[in-house]
Amino acid sequence: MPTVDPFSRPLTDLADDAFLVMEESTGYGAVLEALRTARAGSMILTKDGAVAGVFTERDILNKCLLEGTRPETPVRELMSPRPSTLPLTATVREAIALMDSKHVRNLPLVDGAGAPKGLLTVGRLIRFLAYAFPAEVVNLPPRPGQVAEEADGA
Amino acid sequence: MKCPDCAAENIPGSDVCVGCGHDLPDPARRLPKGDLAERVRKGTIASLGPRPAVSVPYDRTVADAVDLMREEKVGALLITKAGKVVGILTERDALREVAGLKDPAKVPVSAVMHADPDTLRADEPVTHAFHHMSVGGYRHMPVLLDDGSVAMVSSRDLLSYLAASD
Repeated sequence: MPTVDPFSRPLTDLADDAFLVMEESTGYGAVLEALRTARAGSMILTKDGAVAGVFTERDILNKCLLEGTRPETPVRELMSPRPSTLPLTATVREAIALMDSKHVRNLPLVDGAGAPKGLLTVGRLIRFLAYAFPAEVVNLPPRPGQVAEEADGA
Repeated sequence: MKCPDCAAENIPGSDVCVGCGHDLPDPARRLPKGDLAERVRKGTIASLGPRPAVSVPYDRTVADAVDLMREEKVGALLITKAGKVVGILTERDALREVAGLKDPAKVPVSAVMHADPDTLRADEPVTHAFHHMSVGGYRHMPVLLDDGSVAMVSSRDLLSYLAASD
């Protein structure tokens, strides 16, 4: 059993510090290319060094894919502006509450000046929890009612 | 309350900081209550509230699928052939292969879907969803229900399950 409640851990322990960040004036085509190259699902956009928006796979699906969006369109016009953010010191519990209540899958983590310092995705959060409960996740019988009938299970 | 980002004082109940414009953390009463670890250990896939899956035939185009995802506000579709599930198409699949590269109206969903996706059953422990999504990097998984129909759970359902206070 972990000695520290995983839900009280600070987000510094699990945030992605190799997140993607670009200026909000960057063109859609360049952002798309960067996302594809990095196999990433979201991009943090900044203005004057502070987080101004997030551009996610959902934004592409909802606003660009069928519209034939021109590659030079500034991503500022397509991103989700003023995203929810948390400080790096916030806890896993706070991140779960915020992501659930705001329906976001990508949470930029910021410093006091609003500069991006990390990214928490729902996938990363789930991986963290899967690792935080290794015994429960890995050692479960494939069927909940399964009982070994012989002592060594042979 | 004091803003954790810029330390400005805000009146109680504010959603956004007057100083820096950031969202203020939800007050403590809105944090998930109870023993979250217990919820992880005890829940079943059924307790995630799987929703009926939205499906599209395998010979339709990515443009049709995107229309449907927008309309139904879902991130993944089941792909069916003669009434049987043959694959899953997620928004990520649609984007990786198509966005900015090809005309979505000319690419069949069968060309970009994942064939034979891993599935869950409603009576499996919720930890199985954590495990499969973590290992496979999935955000959506089909759930086989007892009546033979197929539902879908998403990583968001896992969050909602954990966030729901009892």
